[in-house]
Amino acid sequence: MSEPLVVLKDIVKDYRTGRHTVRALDGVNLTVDRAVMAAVIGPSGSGKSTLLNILGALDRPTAGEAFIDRVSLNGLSEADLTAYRRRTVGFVFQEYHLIPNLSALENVLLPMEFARLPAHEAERRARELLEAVGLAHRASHRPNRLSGGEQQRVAIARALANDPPFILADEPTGNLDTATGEQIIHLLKEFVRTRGKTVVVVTHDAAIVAEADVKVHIKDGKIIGAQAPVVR
Amino acid sequence: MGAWRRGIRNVYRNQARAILVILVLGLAVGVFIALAQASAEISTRTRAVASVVGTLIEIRGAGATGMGVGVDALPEESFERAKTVRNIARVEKYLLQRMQDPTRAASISIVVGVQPGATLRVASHGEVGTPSLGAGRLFAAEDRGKPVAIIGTLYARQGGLKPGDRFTLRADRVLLQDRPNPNVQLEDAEVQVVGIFESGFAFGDNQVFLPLDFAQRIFKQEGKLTHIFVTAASTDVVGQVEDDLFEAFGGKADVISGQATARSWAKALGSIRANGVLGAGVAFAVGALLTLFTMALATRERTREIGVLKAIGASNGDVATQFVAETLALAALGGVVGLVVFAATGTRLAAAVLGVAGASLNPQTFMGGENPASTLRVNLSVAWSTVAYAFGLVLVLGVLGSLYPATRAAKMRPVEAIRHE
Repeated sequence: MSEPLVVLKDIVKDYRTGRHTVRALDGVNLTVDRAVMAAVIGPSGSGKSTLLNILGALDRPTAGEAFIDRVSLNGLSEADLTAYRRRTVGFVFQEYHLIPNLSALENVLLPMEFARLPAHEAERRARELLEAVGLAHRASHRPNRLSGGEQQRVAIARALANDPPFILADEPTGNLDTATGEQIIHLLKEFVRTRGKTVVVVTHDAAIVAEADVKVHIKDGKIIGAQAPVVR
Repeated sequence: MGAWRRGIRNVYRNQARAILVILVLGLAVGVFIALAQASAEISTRTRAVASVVGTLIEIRGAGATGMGVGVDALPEESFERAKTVRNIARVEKYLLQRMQDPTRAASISIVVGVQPGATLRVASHGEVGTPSLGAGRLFAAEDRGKPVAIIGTLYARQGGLKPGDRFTLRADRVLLQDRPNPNVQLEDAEVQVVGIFESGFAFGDNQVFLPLDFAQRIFKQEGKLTHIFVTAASTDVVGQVEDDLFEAFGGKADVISGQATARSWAKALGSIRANGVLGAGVAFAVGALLTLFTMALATRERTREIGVLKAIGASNGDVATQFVAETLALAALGGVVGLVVFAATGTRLAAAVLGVAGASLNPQTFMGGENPASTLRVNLSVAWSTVAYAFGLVLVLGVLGSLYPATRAAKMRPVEAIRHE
């Protein structure tokens, strides 16, 4: 059995709001193997998004240690965390968050530009990814000319641009109708199956939960249930 | 695509705001170039005045004011007395009389007796220039004592006169200030036009030159002068020559140095220039502040986008570069608009600045040579160095204006930026 991609040990995350400290994550331990789709579920305010932020190195834990692909995020400098976000992880957001004045192709090119990939190589790869998400014919369109489902597919292509092993998706079907949401789920699932990506999805969507290899229940900052064998 | 290209493209995201910033910066650049142009012109004029009038000294009857027509004329021997002073290059004598002809639209005219070969000096309300001959000829030695005249273009036009024509100077129209001059009697005198000059100024072009001895005769001023102009050998000795002349005339004449005039010009024009620099500075400061606020606003509006860029791998440098590029693009477009603003209005603005300078000064009467207020024409060609300087300045302001927003954007924590509402 290969090494797990994600290992979280006793992760605590506190937020200060005025005089008060709010504990968003309270001693989270989690291990996620490679090439699986894990769904993180729980009520609003339970700590799902905070968990995602820590996995994506958008935020640092107050205590505990996070290992992604055998590397501890705790010891990394800001520049190293930037490199981690660029190379190791891809983000998919609920509201797509495409850059509005860039075309679909240019949006997919962005992470490769930040990774200083040669332009011709980057464009070849961006077109290939748009092809993979079924949007080759919409490459020159700006986000406001694309439907919600198309925008989310562009966002998925963007997340895969630098071929990261790890995809983090925050409510990726939250703004989509059921049929379009299912397309997105199948697309993510396909990348798990065909490209060996590990996808962690924060969701309320029962369809995603049903498709997930792993379900992680979180409440009040604690994992209250996880399905073996990929989550231990 | 690169952060630079992306930043430049971002200029078009809020077009109304971009246009406002570009116009304000453009106005600042246009005003700056115009004022720089006016300033350069002021320097040129000041140097010209210093070089031309710097050696000129005027002598006129004590107490003469305004147009220089005094109650007390100078005796003709004053001319010889002036010539005895050391370190002088040239001495010229004049008899000036003021006349009024109510039948003409430009009723007030100056009649000046001048020696053949002497400088034709035009007197006006602060407009003084060196006339150029437009038609006919100048006085020659054989014109001495003859009823001939060189007239200004306005005088010629209003009298329907051309070289060869004759006209009459009327006895009842000689003035002392605004009243008939009791000290001067004139017989009606018919004179023939031999030349027509042009000075570029209406009042100057309403003037009549006569041979000095003829003028003295018809005005019953034989042996009298109103003005003597002494040109010192060099600017270094003007002070000494002025003192010597004052001593030679024993206080019975006013001795006025051109250098004092030049100094007065330089001071007044310098003050105008300083105000111009201040104006350009204010315009640039307003432009820089507007740029700063605009970019700060853009940073705030795009906070979530900045978070997304960081989430997908943008470094702080990538984010900052994008905002600097956007600001520089705004500044560069402002620079281009500034050139257009200058091309459209700059020359008039520069001339207006010089006009203000001219208006602030006392009229210089009966003085030859260049005078800054008299020559409000502004050179249309702009020095490339001025344009480059203006562009450089607006780009520097762009960089300064982008520092805070770019730094703020670069330092945003991605998690907070993405959460931003």
